[in-house]
Amino acid sequence: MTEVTTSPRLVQGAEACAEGALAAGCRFYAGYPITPSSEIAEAMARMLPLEGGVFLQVEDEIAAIAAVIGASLGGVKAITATSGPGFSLMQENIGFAAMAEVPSVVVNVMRGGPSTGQPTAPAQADVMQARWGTHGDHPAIALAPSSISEAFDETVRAFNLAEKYRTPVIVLLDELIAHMRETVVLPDSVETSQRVKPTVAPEAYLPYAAPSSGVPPMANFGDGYRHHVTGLSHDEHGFPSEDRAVAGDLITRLMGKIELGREEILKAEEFCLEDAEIVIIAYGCVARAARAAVRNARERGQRIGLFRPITLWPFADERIGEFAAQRRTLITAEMNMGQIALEVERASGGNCPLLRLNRVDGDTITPGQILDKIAEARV
Amino acid sequence: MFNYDKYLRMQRLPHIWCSGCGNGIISKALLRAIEKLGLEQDRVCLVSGIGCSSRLPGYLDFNTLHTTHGRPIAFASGLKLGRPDLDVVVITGDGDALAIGGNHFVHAARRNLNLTVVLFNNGVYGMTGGQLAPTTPFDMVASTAPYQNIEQPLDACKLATAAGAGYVARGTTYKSQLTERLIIDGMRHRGFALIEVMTNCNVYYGRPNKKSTLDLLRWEKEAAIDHKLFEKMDARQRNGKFPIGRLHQDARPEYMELYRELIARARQKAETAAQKKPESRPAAAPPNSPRAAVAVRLSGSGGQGLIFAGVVLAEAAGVYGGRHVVQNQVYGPEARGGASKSEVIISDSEIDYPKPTEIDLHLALTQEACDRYCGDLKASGTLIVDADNVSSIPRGEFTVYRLPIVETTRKKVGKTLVANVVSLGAATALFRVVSPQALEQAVLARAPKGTEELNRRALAVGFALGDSARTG
Ligand SMILES: Cc1ncc(C[n+]2csc(CCOP(=O)(O)OP(=O)(O)O)c2C)c(N)n1
Repeated sequence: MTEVTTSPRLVQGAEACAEGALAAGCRFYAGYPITPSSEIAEAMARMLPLEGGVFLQVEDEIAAIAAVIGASLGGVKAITATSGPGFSLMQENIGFAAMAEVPSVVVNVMRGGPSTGQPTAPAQADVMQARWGTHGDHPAIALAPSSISEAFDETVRAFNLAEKYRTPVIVLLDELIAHMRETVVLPDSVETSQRVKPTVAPEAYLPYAAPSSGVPPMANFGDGYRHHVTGLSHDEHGFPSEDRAVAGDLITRLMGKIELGREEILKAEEFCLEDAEIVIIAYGCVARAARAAVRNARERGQRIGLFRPITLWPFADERIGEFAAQRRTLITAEMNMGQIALEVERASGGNCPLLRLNRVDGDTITPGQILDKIAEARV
Repeated sequence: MFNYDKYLRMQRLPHIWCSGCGNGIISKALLRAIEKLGLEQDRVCLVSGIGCSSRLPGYLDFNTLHTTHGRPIAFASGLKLGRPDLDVVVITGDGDALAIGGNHFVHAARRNLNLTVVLFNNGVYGMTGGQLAPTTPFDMVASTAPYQNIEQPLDACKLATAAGAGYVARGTTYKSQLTERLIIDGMRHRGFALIEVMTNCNVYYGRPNKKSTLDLLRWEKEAAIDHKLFEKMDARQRNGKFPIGRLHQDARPEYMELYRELIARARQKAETAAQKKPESRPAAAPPNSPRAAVAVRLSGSGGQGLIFAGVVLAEAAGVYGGRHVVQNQVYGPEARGGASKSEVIISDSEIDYPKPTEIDLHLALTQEACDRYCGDLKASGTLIVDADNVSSIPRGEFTVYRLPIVETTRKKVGKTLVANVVSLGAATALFRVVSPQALEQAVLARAPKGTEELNRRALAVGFALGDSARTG
């Protein structure tokens, strides 16, 4: 019954995201309407009941993420979608999901901020909030699709990573990608991951004792493995603990499990990079402008390439470090004041000049602007 | 003697509550209720927020979830909706449920989802050391109300009733048997059930207000009046008293029952739609020699259906013509009036930048749209305007066609509603971005049921209009 077919269809980004969620096995949505993400809610409201799933419009975004975590603890894959102001409201409970290790997916269709900002204008200004939005040290996974088929694929991947690593995963969708349409062939079925269930007897179950992967097996409520889930610092039994060693070990493990999975979580597209002297680093819709610019520059014999992180968090430190060591100049292009630029600066260790292209007026970065930046790099 | 042991996580004891605290009494009433209801330990979920009272689930051997301050009802709603087979009970304090979590409390009551909320009302913030709560009585002292409270306390039961809760009751720690019965009653009720239990915090509420545990219990004993009796009391008699017992119950349908009906309705609708509308299979793309990418902009006023036209054109090119397409549109207030536009890029190769940088074909049905959106039309491009609605043509080297689109639609089709489809027909006849066959397939696939004939006619009129302009 899922609207997933093998013939080409014209699909909007928001719909692709909703269809990806359903294909990944999501059967619960809770959300509060906000531009420019409401199309995802509307698609879910239409489609979820057909799958026997639950769609709930809640009173605010705090309730949305809370309900998502609640459903997930019951074993139901769950998602919420929002935009800037709503994403801000969700932060406390995103931290809860990270701390209590509850698989959950949050889509943030980014719009111009801060505050109410520019509700209908595209921006990429929540990249750092996706990393550090909630208080405290915590792991983060954030994915940034740049096409309609990727909006589908990355939503599927968000669920798979959430299940595998028992953590909240954030999909950072650009307004432009969420609202535009492309013809795509969406797969009939996709590969899905499920949380690993405990195999020991209930009496022996330690809900927060992790194997070497750092990810403890997870029993759903109602499975017969009665256990405690809390956002307080907790021991292997899941019970609150004020023990310093327990607290330290927990945070170290939470950060460590994502580090251990880094290779698998990282995903990027490399375009015309082999001989590139200048590397443009861009994501989401900006990467498409960058692609056009690279093609154009290449036609004129310039050695330009594009590195497009699809996984934004964890950040592709190593690859950036390699570029910095081998290439002449790195250019970051993003619709914010330089959020990924700072990461690139850190990862490149001062080994090569960095140029930044930033746009924060509510319009997208154009291929022409990138070409101008390339010209700057070449003098 | 009731044996509580099987429900306790012994290794977690002693608890954090002060001696003399009323929380233990409520906890015991809850356990007796669960036992008497014969609930399976594995199927019971206790969900709490943050506060002294919210620490209870940690001590009890069920599926227990200790969430964030004020949010347990929201977490519990997700859990219950995802797993209606589980018995979900919310344990919350008065600050948790009525201050920071007030919004969730109101809306969960309104939804009438089958949750049981046991609200421990001690009139103060216990966990954080005795600050003012939304339930602190008038005139009392709290650590953040050193000169006495000047706010009116909130009545949780009245609030829940007004919001639409199916079951509302109040008990006290003094009358623990009553409290137990009310919890049983509330858990049996299908719908949102609130059991508010008046309890005491002798340390943070009692001490600053010079009241011992005994004073506080005596107050519970004397101020709590059976609701039937309370009903009969006049305002003067009610002063300083509060009603206890089952205060409200109704048989409004529970949320999940309604949701199951909604699912059935949705499926029924989908089935009917599938039967009535045979899927039009996209034709195999005709072999084409590569052409240059084309950017089309359709503009007019909001409500003229140009976004729909953009989608149809994109489908004609992408789905029925086998080419790469990207379709964009104005978004936000513009789409609801004023000037509106939809853009389609059509290409034989992958489209990188998804917005047109230059336009090859621009259609404008209004003067405003023409003025506003014509700036990036190529010198070699084509501008089609509605002859009657666009009088001033922007300067440029592009080719201009003035076609009486709206007027012809009115005359020959009858409904100006389909001027968008007539426009597509005319534009296609003049400027073959898609084949007429592909366009017709796309229009018919998108046309609402029963309007197929109307749309077919509109297309034919549009083709003829475009053809005559080309040859004329
Ligand atoms: C977002 C947030 N704000 C504030 C707090 C601090 N805090 C913890 S418990 C509490 C009040 C608890 O009072 P109540 O709900 O009445 O429960 P009690 O401790 O009296 O049982 C507050 C303000 C918090 N944990 N989280």
